Amino acid sequence: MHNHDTGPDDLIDRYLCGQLRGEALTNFEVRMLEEAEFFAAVQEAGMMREEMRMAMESGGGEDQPQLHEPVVIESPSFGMWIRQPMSLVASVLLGISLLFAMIDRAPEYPENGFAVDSVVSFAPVRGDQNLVVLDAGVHLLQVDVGISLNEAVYQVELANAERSRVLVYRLAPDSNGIVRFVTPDNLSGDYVLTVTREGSADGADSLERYQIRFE
Amino acid sequence: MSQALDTPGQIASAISQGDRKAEAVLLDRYYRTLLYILRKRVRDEEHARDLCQETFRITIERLRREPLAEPEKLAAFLQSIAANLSIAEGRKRERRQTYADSDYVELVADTGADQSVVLDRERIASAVRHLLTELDNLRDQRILYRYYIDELDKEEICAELELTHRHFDKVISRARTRFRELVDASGRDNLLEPVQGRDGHA
Repeated sequence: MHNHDTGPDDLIDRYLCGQLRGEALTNFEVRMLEEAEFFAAVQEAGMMREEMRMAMESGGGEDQPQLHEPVVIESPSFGMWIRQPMSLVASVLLGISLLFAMIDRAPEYPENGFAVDSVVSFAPVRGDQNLVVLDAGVHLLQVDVGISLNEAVYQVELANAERSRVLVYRLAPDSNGIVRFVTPDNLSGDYVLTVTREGSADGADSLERYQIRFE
Repeated sequence: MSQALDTPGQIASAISQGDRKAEAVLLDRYYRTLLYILRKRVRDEEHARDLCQETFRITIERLRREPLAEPEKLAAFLQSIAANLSIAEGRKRERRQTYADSDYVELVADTGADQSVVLDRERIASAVRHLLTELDNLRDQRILYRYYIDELDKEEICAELELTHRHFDKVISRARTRFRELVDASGRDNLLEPVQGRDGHA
């Protein structure tokens, strides 16, 4: 059941769900009769709903769209981090953002308790399906870089495609091998997140990158 | 002397004056929409068509007998008749086969599948497939599924998926906008690029 009226699209959805009654239904039907464009919009929305239902319910057929799997892993298991070899330099780090310089309003505190819109966790993932889509809000990004015997420091870089905006931080992980980083508000577009472990014994920097799209 | 039949008031007045052409204009203008409304109300194709025919017969007879007090409210008049017919209980349905004065009603009712609707559906189906392939965020997929398939309330969806209302609105709005872009693009260009699965086949 939908109980929000934030515009004509919501009203159309309510009609299609059969939730309009009485005078609201009468007015809606009269409007369809009087306004050809409005009727066309209702028809289109109805067909979209039907096609989406068919596509989603049938899911997995050969002629259905193959959806990418997300790369976000909510909480790495104990076995996962302990299996990471110490020589794995290709880990992703996130640092603390330039938040204080960018936030000019009181933060909101959603249910997760953080003054952020969401908490997103990353862990090393094999494969090329590594695009994460986030909205243009404040996000806490945390990355499992593994527990190191040495006090490792990681360089985290978040840069857009044009490199017109580049955020660079030096961060140390906590006792669980997690590095945390808060994104600035209102990032927009495609960004590349790279993490490099500083002071590798052989000087080699092996990177693992994540693609983040802020919308 | 023929008169303009552009506005509902002109159509209603012309029918009241005995203009048979105006009756055809009435059906051209409102039949498809009224049928859609009745399909939604009675959820039966044949029943909806019967009610639609009867609505127009009643309307035409009424207009011939007596002009509307507010001719410009012709649409509201049609809707009220259709609504009353659809909710009437124990209505006795009689087809007035001998009503020969407006054979156009029968002609429209016998029309097969509206070709424009068939083409629109193909475009929309293609747009939906493209929209779903562009969704690589599992949570967004779930939001759309809960909203469009399960028809859950925004509050329920936000509670279940731990979303803010702003996030929910953004996802739905983005899906609608992108869907319209895809439909418009398919209308202009006649074809969208075929949707490809992971193995590269369309």
